[in-house]
Amino acid sequence: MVILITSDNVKYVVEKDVAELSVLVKNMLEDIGPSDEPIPLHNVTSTVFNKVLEYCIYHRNDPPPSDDDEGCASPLHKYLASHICSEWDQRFFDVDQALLFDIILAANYLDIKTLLDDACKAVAHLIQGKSTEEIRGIFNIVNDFTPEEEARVKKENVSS
Amino acid sequence: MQHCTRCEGARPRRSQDRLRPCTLKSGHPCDACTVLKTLDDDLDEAEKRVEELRQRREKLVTTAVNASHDLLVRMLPIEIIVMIFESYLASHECVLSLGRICRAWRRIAWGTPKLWAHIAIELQPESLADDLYFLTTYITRSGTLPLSISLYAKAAEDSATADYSPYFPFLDALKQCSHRWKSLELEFPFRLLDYFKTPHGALFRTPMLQELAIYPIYGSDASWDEGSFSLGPNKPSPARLLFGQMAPKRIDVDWSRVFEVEVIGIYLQEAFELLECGPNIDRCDIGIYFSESDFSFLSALATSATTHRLRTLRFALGCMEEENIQLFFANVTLPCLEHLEIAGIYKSSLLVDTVISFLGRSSCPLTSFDIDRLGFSGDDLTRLLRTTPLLKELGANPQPPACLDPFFELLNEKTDELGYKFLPLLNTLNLKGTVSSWDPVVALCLQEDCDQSRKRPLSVVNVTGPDLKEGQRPPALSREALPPAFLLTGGGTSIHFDGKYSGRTVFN
Repeated sequence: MVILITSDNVKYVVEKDVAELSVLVKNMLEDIGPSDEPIPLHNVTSTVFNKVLEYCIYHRNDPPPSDDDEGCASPLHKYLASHICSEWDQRFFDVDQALLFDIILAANYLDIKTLLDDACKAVAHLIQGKSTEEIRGIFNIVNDFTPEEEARVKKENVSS
Repeated sequence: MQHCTRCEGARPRRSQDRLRPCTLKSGHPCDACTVLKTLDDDLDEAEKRVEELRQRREKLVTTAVNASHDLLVRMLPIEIIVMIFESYLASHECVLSLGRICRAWRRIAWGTPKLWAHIAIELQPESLADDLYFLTTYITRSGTLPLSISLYAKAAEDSATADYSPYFPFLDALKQCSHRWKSLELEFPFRLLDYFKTPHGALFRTPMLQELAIYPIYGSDASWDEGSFSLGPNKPSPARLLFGQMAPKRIDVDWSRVFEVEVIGIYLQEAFELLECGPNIDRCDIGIYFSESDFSFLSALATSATTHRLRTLRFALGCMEEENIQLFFANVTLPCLEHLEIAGIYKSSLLVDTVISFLGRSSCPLTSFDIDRLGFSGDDLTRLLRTTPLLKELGANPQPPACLDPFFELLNEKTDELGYKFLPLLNTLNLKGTVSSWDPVVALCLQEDCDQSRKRPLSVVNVTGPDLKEGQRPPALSREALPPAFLLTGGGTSIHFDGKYSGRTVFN
């Protein structure tokens, strides 16, 4: 078992294989060797870590991510890879935007590639197939283009 | 009121476009001009104020509102936003649509070359100028990065007389960046493909090309054997080659470097050519379109075609006649074959003796075997699988659905040393057929009385039953088998028994 402490001082006792899904934690464990010392997670609050832990426990037996994902994958492969297939994953990422982005930041900090990839896909999924106005609505973005810029953007819009 | 003798009712169109105030003999403007001047001054003041407010609003929107609202930009570092954008683009979305949202998104999208390195354009005759603009924009904005390009152009009705010159600028643009091609997919009229060879082909250089996909489109006036592809003297050497409706030997690539092939719509004899002309092909996915000439070709084959490197073969046989399927397997030897999938046998069946003979002749270390629509019984399946003792993954769909009870009994048989007699290395099992009880299927995964070292490493079991008619009873699953089944699934073993019984899924 591994003891992890979040930035708000909440202590977690986590099975080693689950904790080691985080490359950051895995490297720290390798560096310090066998020890009962808790590992501090400075950039992750307990609220966010609860979600991260839920993901890691569910995906603990998944095969490691393939290097092919970075290589010359076919358009179909990329298309499939860009979609979150599991219903569980869809439910997991069905949270408010701030928490979703916090999960992304935590995954980035903890170096959990699959969580980072899946969370990015979840955000992409929010805007896929949406119009400009709908995307602005999702993120509460105000159109900040000048009339001249807007005209240029619209021309691209017509052409593409 | 004094009236102006010069204004004559004319009025300025805009405040910036004022009339000069008139001057009366007294040296002052008339009353109307005086009032007009006052109003103009007020308007100027108001417009100045409006402009000032507009600028303040714009500044607020640019610097504060979006920065405060848009959590994506506010919270996430650029490299992660780029990852999100990449995921978005992978779903056939356009990078231009990211630049329409707001300045911040546009700045990120426009400033990230890798978002422009994947180009997919459907060329439309009525918008070729725009399409060319997009192609060149993508090529320019992607900097020096390797490019993945997919271009699609429709075939003309009459391909022989069609004018393809409007497409030449696209070929030129492609030529300019050929040294950056990582992946090139062309779905073009076959006569347009010819222009790659000459005069444009002479300058193509493709040192980075890993994947080449060529799909010629034929008009109603052309036959499949007319299509060809060449880049001239500099042969590309992709590791992965995808094509359709074109003979392999008409694709001018360095075949010795081709490692993986995916082809649809070729004749059976061309499949033989493919296996022969690509000596280092490791993986091959072939979709056959059968013609009558294939039969005479196969009948005339004097010796077997042997491919030494092929490890994975997926073979979709389409509407081939039974005797041709048999002839193919009787004439091919694949000694390194590890993964074999035979799919899409619609009109006929596969004779078990032919496959046994093929596997015996090949002496291949087959570890994965997936056959759709077998034409033989459960007993024949057993007989076939006795020739593949190294099998780790099995998928089969016997037609008509076979009774799998004897098969599962055999799978559960143990040796005196408590190892398994039949397919001891089996890890994944996907079967369609009938069973009288699910219990033997669950028992496959239990291994309670097994020595740990002799356990069968079965971790995925999917058994799909046929639709039962009204009144027929679904297979039973005993109460004793349920807890261990749930224990197994909770422990990572994937077990699915599917079957629609009177429209109801009994157990999944």
